[in-house]
Amino acid sequence: MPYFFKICLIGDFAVGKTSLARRFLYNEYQADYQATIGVNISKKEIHLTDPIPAQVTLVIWDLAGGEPFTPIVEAYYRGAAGALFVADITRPATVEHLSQYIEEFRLVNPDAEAVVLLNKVDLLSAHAVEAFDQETLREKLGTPIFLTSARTGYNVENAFLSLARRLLEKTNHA
Amino acid sequence: MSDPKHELETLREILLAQDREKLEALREEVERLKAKIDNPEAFLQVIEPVIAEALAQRTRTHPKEVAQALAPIISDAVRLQIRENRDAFVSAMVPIMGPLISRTVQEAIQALARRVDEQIRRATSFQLLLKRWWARLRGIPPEEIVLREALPWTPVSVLIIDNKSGIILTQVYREGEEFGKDPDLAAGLLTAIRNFARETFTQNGDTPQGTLYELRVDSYTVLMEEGPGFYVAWVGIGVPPMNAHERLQELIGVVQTATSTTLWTANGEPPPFLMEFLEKEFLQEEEVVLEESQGVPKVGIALITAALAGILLLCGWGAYRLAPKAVAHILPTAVTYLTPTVETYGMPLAEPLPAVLTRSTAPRTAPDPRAQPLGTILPSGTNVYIVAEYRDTWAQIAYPTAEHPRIVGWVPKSMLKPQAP
Repeated sequence: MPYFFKICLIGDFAVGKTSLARRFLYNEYQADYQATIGVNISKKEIHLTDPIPAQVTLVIWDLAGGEPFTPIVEAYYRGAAGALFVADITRPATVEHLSQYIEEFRLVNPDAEAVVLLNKVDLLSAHAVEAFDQETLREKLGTPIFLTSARTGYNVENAFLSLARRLLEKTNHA
Repeated sequence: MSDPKHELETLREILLAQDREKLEALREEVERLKAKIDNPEAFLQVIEPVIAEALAQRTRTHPKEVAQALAPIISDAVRLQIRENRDAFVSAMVPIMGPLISRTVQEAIQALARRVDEQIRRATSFQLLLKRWWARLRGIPPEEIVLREALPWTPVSVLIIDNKSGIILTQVYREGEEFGKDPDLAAGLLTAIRNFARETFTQNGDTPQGTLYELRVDSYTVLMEEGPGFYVAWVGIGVPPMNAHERLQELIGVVQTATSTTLWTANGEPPPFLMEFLEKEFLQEEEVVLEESQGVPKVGIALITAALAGILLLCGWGAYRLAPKAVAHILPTAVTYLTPTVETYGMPLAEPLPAVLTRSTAPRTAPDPRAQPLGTILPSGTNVYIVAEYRDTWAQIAYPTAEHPRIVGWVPKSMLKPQAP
């Protein structure tokens, strides 16, 4: 049985939402920054074997970054089964804003799944990555956290697949 | 003894004279070229024949690279020209754009003319004659009929889309003609556009009201109607039928029935009757129905009515004169038969009027497209009885018998074809 899930990519501007989507969809990276206007919609079919064998189609709504929580943004959130919240690990302010984005998203979709991606990890030294306090952030946000790099592709697929598995598991239980 | 210095000079002359001449010639050539380069007009004359050929060759072999290289320069130059010298730019463009537009329009008109010719050829002379006669009666120029038939509504697909997520719940489409390159993405974007339109046109603090009913992209038209939790989108090419939105509302009723009665199976497969309904009612090309032109008097209808009334009177008079017994036989039958609409329309009807459903439909609890469907889908061709009417648009139908009618509900009158009693 095929499954269709709408998921949103949410976060501040220039944190790499579109680059993450491109990496996941086409396994490519574009160095020059082009701001997303409104919303980009794309989809990817994936075959999961865990928790059950299933063909899952993720319809990805990549939303413009840093938009205030207007009724239009609220409308774009509506009907999403889950979301990937993205921050730039080199810009602490974008990480701080995550809790607000999650709160707004949950107002519209109280039961939706959420996963946090701390992107641009390739720009930090190994020491700095190790020093980053993921545990505190995980406790604060209550979501799984993935360190990712759209530039190198590090952990990108894992993050998307993790969300897909959670959605599949939840739907299957329901 | 000769002067050695002089001899050396003579020797140098002999040895280097030729080189010096060459050097001098080269210097002159360089000077000439430099003068040409420094003078834009002269330089242009030199490179013009070469650069055109070079550019042409490069464009043939590497079109993408040439376009990428030239695009920023050309767009900047064009922008600058438009800003600084608009009139000159317009004058320069007119000779190019004028014929181009003219050619495009000519081709479009030729294509339309071909379709009109085809339409006329296809119609038998009797059909055409009838249509023209009927058009004249209703005040429509016959050429409008032919023109309208040349622009038919060709359905491409019909989709039922989740209102919130934009995910397609089900769809049917003509073979090879899906909605957009990827229907899933198209449905998502359509939903985003609807959301945007709704929020944009909603007054401050109001509940959302702005609903997008129609969208046109090139030759495609997307007609939309909103149901509870989903919306339906009908994609096609050409001029949509007049009752398109009414039919979409009817479809919403059918979908509601499918969802509310748990006919939509647990694995997400829509019930077969819904798919049949979609294919039959929304994917088949249909005959064009024209609306009367506004403001044209119904002279034709009045004349026909007067003529029929005259014939009736003559018949009645003749019957009265020749065979008084026949009056009882002829008059009531004729009146009942010829003027059913005048006598029977009202709410409720004195006598149930037999009719047949021209489309599969789910009757509603009230004469309102937003009213709840009753959960019974009557297939096209079902014989029913009209027992009441609401305005000129809705009829309350009974099913299955006139003697013991079981009230089924309300359906649009456009879906009923009255039958002779």
